[in-house]
Amino acid sequence: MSVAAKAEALAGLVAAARRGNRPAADRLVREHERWLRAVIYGATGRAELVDDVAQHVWAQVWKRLDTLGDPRRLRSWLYSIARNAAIDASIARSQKDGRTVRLEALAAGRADERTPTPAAALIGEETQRLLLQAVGALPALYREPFVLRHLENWSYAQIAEVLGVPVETVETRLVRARRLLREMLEDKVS
Amino acid sequence: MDRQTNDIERLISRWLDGEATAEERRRFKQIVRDDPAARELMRKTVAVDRAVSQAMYRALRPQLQPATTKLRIRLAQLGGFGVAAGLLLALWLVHEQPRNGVRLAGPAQASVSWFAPPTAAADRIAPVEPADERPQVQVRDTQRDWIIVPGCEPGEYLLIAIDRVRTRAVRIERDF
Repeated sequence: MSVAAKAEALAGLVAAARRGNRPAADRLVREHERWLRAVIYGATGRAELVDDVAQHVWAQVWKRLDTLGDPRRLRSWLYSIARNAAIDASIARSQKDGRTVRLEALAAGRADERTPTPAAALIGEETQRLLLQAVGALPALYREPFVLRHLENWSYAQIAEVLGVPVETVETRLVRARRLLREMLEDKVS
Repeated sequence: MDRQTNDIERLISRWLDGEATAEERRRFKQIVRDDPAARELMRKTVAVDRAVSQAMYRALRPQLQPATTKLRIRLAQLGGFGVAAGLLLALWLVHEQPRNGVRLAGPAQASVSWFAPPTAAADRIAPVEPADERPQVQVRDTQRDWIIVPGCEPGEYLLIAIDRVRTRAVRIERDF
């Protein structure tokens, strides 16, 4: 399918969803739900928030679908809704439980000898928690492309398009995300 | 961090993400082969990358598993239901059906009643004729197939088979 034909099909799908066509709306959700969840995780760094925020995002999408001017910009539009909702939820949760993870705190715990060494195939619960904590401790700026790259297997160009930044910026952010993660975790992951 | 390490980091990152050009891949292989520090850097980066990736998948697996995996799980579930339904049908077919309104009670049959879904309303228990030595209770208005009433002694139960309108004491079991 050519680019023009794809754009036309997408415009038709969005228009149908706007008219309340249930199959069209279902298809939109099917095609975009997964990566939006990855965006939410990338923005919050907290897996437990993903379900709730995703529901909120889709409620927003249906409410504001009429404001989407150009259907070709659907992806960026969805991204901005998901990211804003994720940030709001993250702030609300942090205020609620007063718990924030800092890079320094994680790095300080690096020498903890009680942490078990993970087997190659099986990551222990403690290590799992530590790894997710490290991802959560990354600045959102670096975490977002990292999550999209790993969970969605997106190319630099795809990530750049959604984030609205040059490809080189995506590359730099991924390098920095990996560097920070390596510094935090190299003693714990063999 | 010096410029060379920075370059190597970038190269490793591009290689991991499948974004490296043929020339970059050739250079990457050469650097890793010739430079032990670069090799160590690559080993650590790859290990952390994989571990974090697995951890993220584990944390978000139900939400992010590929559609094909979901389909496989759904098919497996359907298969499981099919097998269970087949087993139940086979059990039903080989099971002796009641002919005169009363089943022959036994421990195996009695066990069915233990797992039968409870009815919403409690069974009505009424006193029986004084002339009857047993049973000591009667049960009315019930939808259960089997009813177990505690006996006079510990571990002694009255097992009652219910066949629509008729209620009849079948057998007394001890400690089943």
